[in-house]
Amino acid sequence: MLKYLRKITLIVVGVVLFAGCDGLLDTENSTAVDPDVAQENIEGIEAILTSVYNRLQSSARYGREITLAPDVLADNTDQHPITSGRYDGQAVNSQGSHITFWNTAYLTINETNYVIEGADNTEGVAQEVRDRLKGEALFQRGYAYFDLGRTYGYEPGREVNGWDQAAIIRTDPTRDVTDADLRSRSSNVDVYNQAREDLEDALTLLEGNDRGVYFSNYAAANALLARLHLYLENWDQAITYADEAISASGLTLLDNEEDITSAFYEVPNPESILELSIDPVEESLGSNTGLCPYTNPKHWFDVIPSENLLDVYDTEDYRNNWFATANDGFPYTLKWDCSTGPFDDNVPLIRLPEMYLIQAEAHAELDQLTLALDALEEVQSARGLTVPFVSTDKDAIIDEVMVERRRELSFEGHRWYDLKRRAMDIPKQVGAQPVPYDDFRILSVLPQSEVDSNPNLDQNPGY
Amino acid sequence: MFKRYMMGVFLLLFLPFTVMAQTGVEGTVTEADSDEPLAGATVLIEETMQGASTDMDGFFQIVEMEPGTYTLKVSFVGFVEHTQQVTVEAGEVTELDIELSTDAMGLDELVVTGYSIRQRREVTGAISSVRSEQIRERAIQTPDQALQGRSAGLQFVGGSGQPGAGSTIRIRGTGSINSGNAPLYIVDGVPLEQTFRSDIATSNSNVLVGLNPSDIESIDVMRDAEATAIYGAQGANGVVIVNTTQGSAGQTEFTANMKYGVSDIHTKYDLMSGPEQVRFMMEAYANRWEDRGLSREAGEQVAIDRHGDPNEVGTYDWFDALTRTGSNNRFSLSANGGNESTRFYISGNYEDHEGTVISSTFDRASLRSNIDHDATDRLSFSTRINLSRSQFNGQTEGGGNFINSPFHGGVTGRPTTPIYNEDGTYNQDIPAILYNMVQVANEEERIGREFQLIGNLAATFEINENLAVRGQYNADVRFSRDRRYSNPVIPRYNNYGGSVYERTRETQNYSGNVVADYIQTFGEAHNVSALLGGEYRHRDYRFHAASGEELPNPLLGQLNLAGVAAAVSGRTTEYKTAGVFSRLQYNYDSKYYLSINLRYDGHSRFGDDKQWGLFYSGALAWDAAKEDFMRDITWIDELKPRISYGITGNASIGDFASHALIGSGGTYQGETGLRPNQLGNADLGWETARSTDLAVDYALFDNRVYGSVGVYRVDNEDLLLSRFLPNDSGFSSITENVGAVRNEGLEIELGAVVFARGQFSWSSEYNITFQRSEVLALEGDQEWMWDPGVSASRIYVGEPRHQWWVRNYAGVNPADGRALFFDEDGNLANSVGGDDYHKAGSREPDFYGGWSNQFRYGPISMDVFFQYQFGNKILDEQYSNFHMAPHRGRNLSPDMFRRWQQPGDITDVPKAYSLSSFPGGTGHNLWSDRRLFDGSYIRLKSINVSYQLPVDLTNRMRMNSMTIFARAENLITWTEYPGLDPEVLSRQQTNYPLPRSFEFGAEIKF
Repeated sequence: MLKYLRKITLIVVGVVLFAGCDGLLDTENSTAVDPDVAQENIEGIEAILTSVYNRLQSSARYGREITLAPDVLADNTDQHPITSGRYDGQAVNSQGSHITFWNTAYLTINETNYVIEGADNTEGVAQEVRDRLKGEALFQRGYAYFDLGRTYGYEPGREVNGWDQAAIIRTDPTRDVTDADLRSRSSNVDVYNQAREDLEDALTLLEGNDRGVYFSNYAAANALLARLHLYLENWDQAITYADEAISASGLTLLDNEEDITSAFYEVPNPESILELSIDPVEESLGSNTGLCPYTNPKHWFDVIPSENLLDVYDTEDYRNNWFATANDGFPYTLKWDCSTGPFDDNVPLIRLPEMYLIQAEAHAELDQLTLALDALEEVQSARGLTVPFVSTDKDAIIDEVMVERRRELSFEGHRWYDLKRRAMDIPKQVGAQPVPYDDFRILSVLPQSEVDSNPNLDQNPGY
Repeated sequence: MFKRYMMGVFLLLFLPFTVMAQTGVEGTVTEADSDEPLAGATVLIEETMQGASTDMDGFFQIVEMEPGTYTLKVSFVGFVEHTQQVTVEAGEVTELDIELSTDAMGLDELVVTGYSIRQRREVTGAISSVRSEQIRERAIQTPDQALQGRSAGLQFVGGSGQPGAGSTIRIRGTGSINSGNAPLYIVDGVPLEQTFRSDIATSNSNVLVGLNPSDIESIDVMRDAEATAIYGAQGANGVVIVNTTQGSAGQTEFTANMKYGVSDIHTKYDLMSGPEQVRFMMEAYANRWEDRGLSREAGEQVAIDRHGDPNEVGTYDWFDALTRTGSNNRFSLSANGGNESTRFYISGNYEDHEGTVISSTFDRASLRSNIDHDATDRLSFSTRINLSRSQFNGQTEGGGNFINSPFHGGVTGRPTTPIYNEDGTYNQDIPAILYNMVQVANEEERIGREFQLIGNLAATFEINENLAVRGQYNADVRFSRDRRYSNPVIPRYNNYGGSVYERTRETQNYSGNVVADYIQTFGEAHNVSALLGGEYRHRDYRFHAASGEELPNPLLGQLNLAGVAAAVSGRTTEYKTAGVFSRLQYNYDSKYYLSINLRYDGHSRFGDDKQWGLFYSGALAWDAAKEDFMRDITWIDELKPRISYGITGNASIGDFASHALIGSGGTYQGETGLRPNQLGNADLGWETARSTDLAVDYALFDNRVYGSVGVYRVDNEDLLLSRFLPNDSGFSSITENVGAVRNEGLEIELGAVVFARGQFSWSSEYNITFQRSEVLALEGDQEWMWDPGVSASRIYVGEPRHQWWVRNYAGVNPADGRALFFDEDGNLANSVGGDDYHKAGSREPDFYGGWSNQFRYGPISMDVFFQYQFGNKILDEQYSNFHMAPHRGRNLSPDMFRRWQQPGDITDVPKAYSLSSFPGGTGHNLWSDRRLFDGSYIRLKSINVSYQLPVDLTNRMRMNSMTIFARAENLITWTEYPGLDPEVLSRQQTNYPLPRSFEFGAEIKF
């Protein structure tokens, strides 16, 4: 009896020893890379930068939200009478329906921080490559902070009731739990400064060292700085950066009807300074969330151009060709016509005409009315308007620039921000209530779960 | 498993016979209690298969026998089978008087416990058994469905009416928040893998899909730590042990079982007719047009332009077109036999089902081979092998409000939209839905096909009569193929030329264990048993998938013909576990019991610093009926209070949950990205379940009344919770062991032979479980979190595990017809935000259970089984689709006629309005308590009526027996719930309702 017990004990002890040995429970993950490996190699850093661009395609950023919601929140669009519910809330500015991309922006920012730090730390890499990686990442970080600043906060000097909180600033990568501390929002001035500095640094690093229109590039950094200074009402700088953007881009305005009609079907758009490429096979946003599904009769067709948008086009304006009428009689935009795939279009993020319109507005603000009219005419004459707009009244010129921005940039995510940065009330399509500038709904709403869980984070007033 | 070892005792019964002289046996069969004769009992000579039935006086006679010693079996439904040896002398008729006693719970019955088998009398844990006839006599496709309502402490929710689809089983509540809550399934000792699913054909894949219910011998449900601690880190959610039929020595007996059945969806949504819906839309447009400063008439005209003239439109019943009378056929054949040294049970099964929704089907073919062989007196081998192929043709269902599901797009479409054109082709002008759902159901392929092997090979060596060592090697291997073909003849898919998606998945789950089992009695009454073992398991999972678009010809939906290669994906993952375990049991004279379980378990999923853990349990029991002072109370056969306490673990988390990960980061411009997507945590360890059980097992009146009453408390601790990380850090959370949830309950099981006299008997089993849960702690001082498993739900400290968290709908403002809500402070508001939601009840029931009844009259038996659940709330999006603002132009419920029409109207339905929210208001379609319904129900779950033909008749037909039967499932449901089917876990989306089904058939043994 005892000898058997001894044998059994030996067997079991053997099993225990077997169980205790190292490597018994080692497993390999085939879909993830060791973090150390990814961050020490230039291939890893490049790949994280690729993810940054992939995030830009998200429907929570330029894949839809920032491209379309700003028009829906204002007066450029109306809802089709039969809707699936998409942007119904934004159309009537219901509480909490806004331009929302907080989480996606910060996923982007963290990844840019990995790249910015990693570009310096990897070894055996040419300086030129380091500079480009870092420059592209800085551009994208600045872009994200600019979007956060203009959506979640007021422009500096335009605060309502002194509310100046804008966004949380993070410039270091989160590598372990202790890095993920609970922060409060920085002021609108700080956030705009962060965006400006990032873009300025990017501009230096990318000069003569960029990958063209589909990536952060030198001309685009100038263009974005021009836009940022327009928002900050630094008119001189806006003009200077716009000038450099125009010349560095090497582009000219399209000025015949055929080219303008087909511009949004060209890849890239011939006027794009920066364009977001979306591969319809690998990167499609699918049938439910993208720009074309929201606006096109082939799909959900919820968001349509408002009557008062269509009214701002003269009959001779070539840009009338950017609209069509569906079988059911309702108009739709052809900017997002599923031009590259069943659900997708490339998204031009910055187009050349915007630079002329920035110059027109800035010159007018500086009382350089002739220069303002010249810049305006560049766009208008290229678009087929044969009678130049003429005025000696600064405000009238600025008003016309604002209208011209609608004609040129509708459905590209400018309208809400243009009204907001000028502290104007938000007009709406017929049947919805205008939103006064001092209404709390001028600022977007932070994710409530973030506010609930982070005691240092304040929600915007009114939410 | 150690079954063979214990069963060896019973094999002694089947002694060989020797040839002698002449004639036969005769006698009477009576009921033991009353001495009344039993008519229709079957008497069978095992060796020769000669048989007879008793007549009205209970008399039988079998003659023309060869002299010899025979095994005589007397059986009668509802009574314990009687077996005895009988010696027949030449020229003599041996007289026999046989008493049969009613079939009550037997304390000598064998119960499967972890890695061994014990008599029920010795069990000190909470284990409920489902017997083979309770599984075989049901019109079900997979054996898990037989668990519903059969065991206290087991909540069962049938997930889908798709034939063959799976179910959700929770043992003693839902204790975990982020880890799995499903029990461990062990089939013939093979631990099954469950983390895979075919979301193409059905979103409710079934872990037991390959098993033929007719092969099942028993299912045991282990609930407390005493029963499950030996499974260590896999035991926290309970363990379901399935054992299949074992071969028995004797002449080979064949069993053929054939059945045929039909099924239907017997409830239907009440919807508006075409003209009603158009008139309602006209009002909705007019109201909105008026708000926009336009004329009502203009609005009405837009509605007419879009929906047609209410005087001309027709009504088309899409739901009717999408549903049908389902059918099923099933045939199975088994052979059971062998000799002393080798015994076998082999079976084959084929069944095919047509579901109640067009194009949904399920078919399965399975083969089973169970072989036991005694090589020597000491060494024996056994193998259990099940091979199966199952195939689903499914529909989009569950898991989301998918418009291309028959249960959403099919029923919420406009009633004015014709299904077919006049020439019989599909109508393609489908506003709002954009799919012709009848065409989609017919033309789109959604196929899930699975090949599965569940098998083991075991060897047992009996060192001496007290000690045996057993080694077992287990394989659970699945190959699955999923295919979705979006046929380009469907216009929505033709946009991109149609697409085809194919996925191949491979799960290999191997395990092995070595167990030593020792049983000894010291002195007169010191009974000791000890078990010691080790186990290792490796699961490897991989899949690859590809899809293509632009198919040149709709008839050729093959991947290689696709014009565009759309996407390719693939992944592999694995985990490993290892453990050593022991069970020590002692009882003194079957009176005082002590049991201790230990397991030391390691799992690759956990952090480097927490990979190994110790799990244990202890139990004490006392059978008071055995005490001398109770001897005189003869009506008490067992009165056994028992108490157990123990710790088990839950490891149902992601394979790499503790590791820092930089994973796939999408693509851009032809390059593939990487992104940091998880921070590492070396301290991540087990979730533990600390469970305490206090119960009394009882058996009274010669075991005619039996059952158990018990209370339990399970504290699930160290729950893996995502600690909030601010999203601005680039991560939203990190997983840590912090939370705690308590589940408590009262479980009552009561069985009784209510009445048994002569030919008639009625036995009944009833169980009820009252349960409640309380969240004890979340992360840090966090007071609530979103429920990760259920939308519109929160988890609050101090409250039940699940809370609906929805807007507080206050009805309609009588002044303007707009929807009103209560805000946080209880004030009425048009518009509410995040803080204004409220707790609105739980999806967890207050109590549930089942009640089964068996009636026997002679050879006729009837089983009637009820099952019920009370106190849960269901969020019904599917039903709510018909009560939404009519902005989408979809079909509506006639309830909407209660809408507000003019100032002063008091109603609960807002003004008709062609937008989902009123300007400046909160959308009243969104989740509010208006969408929550009481999910309580009682269901007449199944009825089975069977009739066993007289043996003399079947003998003449050269059969041993023949039984014919008729069955029904889901026959009647009593509920206040307004949707199609209250058997919903939490949220009714695009669910496939359970059908009502009928089947009839015959079972022949020969």
